Amino acid sequence: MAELLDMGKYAAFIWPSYGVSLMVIGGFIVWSLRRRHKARALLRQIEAVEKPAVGS
Amino acid sequence: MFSFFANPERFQSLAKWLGPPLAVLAIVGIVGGLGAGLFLAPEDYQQGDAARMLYVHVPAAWLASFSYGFLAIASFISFVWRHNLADSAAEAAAPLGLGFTFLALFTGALWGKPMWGAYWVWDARLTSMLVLLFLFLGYMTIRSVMPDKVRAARLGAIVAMVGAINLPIIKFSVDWWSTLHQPSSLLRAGGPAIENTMLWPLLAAILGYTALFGWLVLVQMQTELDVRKINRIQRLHIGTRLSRPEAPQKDISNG
Repeated sequence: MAELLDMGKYAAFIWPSYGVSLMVIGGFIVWSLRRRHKARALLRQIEAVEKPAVGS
Repeated sequence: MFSFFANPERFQSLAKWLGPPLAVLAIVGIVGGLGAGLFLAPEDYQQGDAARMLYVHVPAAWLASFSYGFLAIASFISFVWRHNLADSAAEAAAPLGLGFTFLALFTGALWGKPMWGAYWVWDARLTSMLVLLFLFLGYMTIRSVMPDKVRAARLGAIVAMVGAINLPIIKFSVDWWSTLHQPSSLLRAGGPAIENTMLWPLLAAILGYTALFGWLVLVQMQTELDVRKINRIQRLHIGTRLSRPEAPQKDISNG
């Protein structure tokens, strides 16, 4: 296990490069899906208010 | 073909159909590729375990160039045919491209330190990648700062198209100039110069990163369509509210 973590003395370079890559990828996924969810919720809310107004 | 996809309803149904498989491909490719690169692939005979940075650096660098190519093509379509969906595709690609260009530079710096003895050198490949980062930043700044969104889209498209000249410079920088950066090992005449046990995790990661880009661009475009619809409804409401004070005037003139 220690050998795996050590990565042949390159641990200080390898783990941060994987860590930051996964953080950026995860961040993009969370940001995109949250933005989509918020926009969709707002649109539904507006359309729900709109429909009776259009009907009347 | 462009007019076929210009229809937002048609695009929404295509995105709903295409999104889930792209998401699965992205997750499987990234987890499989990076996991295999980190734990299963053999170490390099010259670089040892440091070569494991290949599996995060190369896909990020590939996607940085790919996303700029996508941005430039979408900008061209938007500029020439005033295609709204192409414009939102370009807008969606820019932050992703910026993020992956940053990742290519960051992981490259971490790879460069043990191999070259420096995090950064003004090498042709590194410098042209830095220029790419500034092109993405410039495009996004134009889109967010200019109050007139139509003019911002037109000017942004021009910048994106002109900036595309940097793509062949990035690709051939290692051939045209004497650089510290190694020449291409994948896209080269005579096929890849990488051992199969190292090649497959790399290809899986590249496929995963590309699928992730496709999926997130679709999600961002769907969001952009919703935002534009919300803005349209809100403008309609403001218009209705503004027109109300005119009503009594009309009544007075009629009376």
